This record gives sequence, structure tokens and C-alpha cells, in this order.
Amino acid sequence: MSGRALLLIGSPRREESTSARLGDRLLSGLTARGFAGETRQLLPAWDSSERMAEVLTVAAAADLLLLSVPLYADHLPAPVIRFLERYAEQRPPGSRPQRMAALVHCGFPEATRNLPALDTLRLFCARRGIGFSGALAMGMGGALGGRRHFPGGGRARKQPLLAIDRAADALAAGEAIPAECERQAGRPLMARWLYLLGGNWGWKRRALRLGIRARLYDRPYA
Amino acid sequence: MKTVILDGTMAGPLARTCGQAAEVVTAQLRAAGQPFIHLKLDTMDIGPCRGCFGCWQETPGRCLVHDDAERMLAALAPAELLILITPITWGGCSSELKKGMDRIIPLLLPFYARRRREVHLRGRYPVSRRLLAVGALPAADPEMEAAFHRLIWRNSRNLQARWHEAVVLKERSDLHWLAARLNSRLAAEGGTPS
Repeated sequence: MSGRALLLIGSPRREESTSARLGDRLLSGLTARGFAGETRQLLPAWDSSERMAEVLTVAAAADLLLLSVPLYADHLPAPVIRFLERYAEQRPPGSRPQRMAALVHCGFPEATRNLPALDTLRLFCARRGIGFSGALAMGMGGALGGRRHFPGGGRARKQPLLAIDRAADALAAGEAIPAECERQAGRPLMARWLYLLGGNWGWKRRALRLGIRARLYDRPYA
Repeated sequence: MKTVILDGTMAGPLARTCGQAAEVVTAQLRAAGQPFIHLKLDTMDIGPCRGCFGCWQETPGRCLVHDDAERMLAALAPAELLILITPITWGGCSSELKKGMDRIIPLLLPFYARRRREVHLRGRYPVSRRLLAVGALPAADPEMEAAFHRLIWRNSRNLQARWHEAVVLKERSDLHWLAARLNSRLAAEGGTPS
């Protein structure tokens, strides 16, 4: 099976983000199997009607929408919700068939924290006549970005990357992401205590380097 | 009890319902003698969070983006009762409400702490918060309602809310239910019921 795949990056950190890295991996898997792939960032479309119109046009022409997003405040980031609102407005009933799959990751250890975001994506697809082909929900996002972002992150992310490759296989074959693949992506990357230790230590080390250690607990609005 | 209403009403078929919800909520708060700040997010210049973490590692507690989010954060930091108003969009909230919610990171510390078998970020301010969310739907929709309840439950866990409640408005009579629920909550907190 082939067609046009559009990767939508929902992270405001854009090309530098974990969302972009994970999404690129999925898109590369699909292009290697004959899909034509394109990528768009959703943040620039937030306050530019021209950019939003362009993203909507490209999205409408895609056979497979791939959404790669971080969890912000328990849910999809605002620019992603705005894109869904606009896309729903312009997609009339009976539009050409499309599929959507998603990669959602959060900074907490528990991958289940992503479930409200998945609820919304599932409902969006169901109500707009888009086939929902599944999602990989991942926790410990701090380590997903790799060694540069988290000590030991390089090795720890092997399992989710394998899950993404298997997801690409399934999507390229016109199938949904297998449940086993979703479970594989959701497994903790390391012991929870180690992730918490690494995360908390990382912020303190950064604060020390930037000379703001004493101001870390400031309460400017007290 | 310091109260902030984050009003995520946006143009569309549910704007009227959300507007009526805001009227009911503000009337109840006035009647109970509760001071409140009503922030209508669609009239505020608040951009999306940039994910830069500058509010943790450059200017702790303050966002690097200078827009109306500063006014929102100043109101939210001491708020004991947070009231959200939104049309329900596929079980979630509107992009207008979410642009505000995404910008509350400066109110948190970058450090993880374990609570109730889960990991959460520690709050920057020692405030005991409560959360009331009001969502509007054009008609009864059990799937959307269930998803909205799950999201608000999740929000309440992360806010470490003492209590939380999600009220879904599907028809005009639900406004009376909203008034009753808020009245009951305010009375339990020691406010004067109307």
C-alpha cells in the first residue's frame, strides 16, 4: 500500500523537539515502504491564517495523517486543538477516506497519562469520518529525546523506537497499529526511581550552571 | 476564597451556552460574597506555550513571553478555586481555554514528587486549590461526557485539588443544576449560600 503521509508536529519546540524526532522515525519508515511523506509544524499556524490554510490544504490531500505531540497540561497542546477545530470545520461529511495515527509522549513516567489526549483523537476521528489507526502513548518523555537530554536516554529508548518501526510496518500495510506494539511503546524506559532521580538532578545541575540555583523556588506572584 | 474563572468560550454554536454558564457562575459568586476574577481568554493576547522551560531555568516562576498570560498567572497563583468554562471539543476543551492552561507551567516547579501512587510536579505556591469545570455540549453525548470527566479528573490530580467537579451542560435546565452544584460547594467551603 502506498499514498501520501503527512506528519504534523504538535510540539512548540518544532524541529528540535522529541516529537519531531519520533515523528521523523515513523515517517521515514513509511517513505521507505513507498509512501510520499511531508512534514508540517502546527505552531506557526496558530496565529497565521495563511499558514493554517496551507496546513489544512496539505492535510486534506493526505491519505494518512501522523500526529506527533507532547502532552501539555494533561492534554494536546493548544495549537493541535486549534488545528483539529479548523480541520473539522473544513472537512464535510462524505469527504475522501483518510486515516490518522498518533505518537503522544509525556514527561511523567506513566504512559497512561496520555489517555485524555488519545480520547480526543479517537473521538475526533470517529466524528469526522477519519479512520483511527491507533496511537503509541509513551511516558518518560525526558529520556525519549536521547542521551543529549537525559543520562542513559540513548539506550533506554530502544523499545519505543522498535515499536515505532513496527507501527510503520503496520500502517504501510494499511493496518492499524497492533495492540502489542502499543503496549511495547508504553512500557517504562527505566526504573521509576531512576527517572525521577535523573529528572530532578538534571534541573538542579542546569540551574547551577546557569547561576540561578538560589532562585529556583522564587514566587514572583506571591 | 480567591476565585479565578478561566473562560474558554469561543465563537460558535456553543458560545451562547458558555456565556449563560459564565452568567450563572458569576451571579452565584456575587451572591455568596466571593471575590473573583473573570478572564475571558478569547479577548486576551495569550500565545501558545513555547516549551522553552525558561520559566524554570532562566526566570524561575515567570514566563519569558510577555503577553496577557502574566496577568493570568498573577491571578492564578493565589487562586483557591479555579473555574473553567469551555465548549467540549471531542471530550476535551477549546483551544482558547487550552492556550491559557498550557501557560500555567510557571506556577509549577520542575521537580517531580510522588503523590497517590503517581508522579506529579510540585507546586511553586503553597495554595490549596479546588477545581470546577463547566463544559457545554449541543446535546447528550455519553462518550464526550465521559472523556471530559476523565480529563478534568486528571487536571485535578495534577493541580492537587482538594475537590473537583465537572458539570456538563446539554440543555437549558442544566444551568439550574450548575447553580445548585456551585452553591452547594460554596456553602460547604463556608461561603454564604444564596
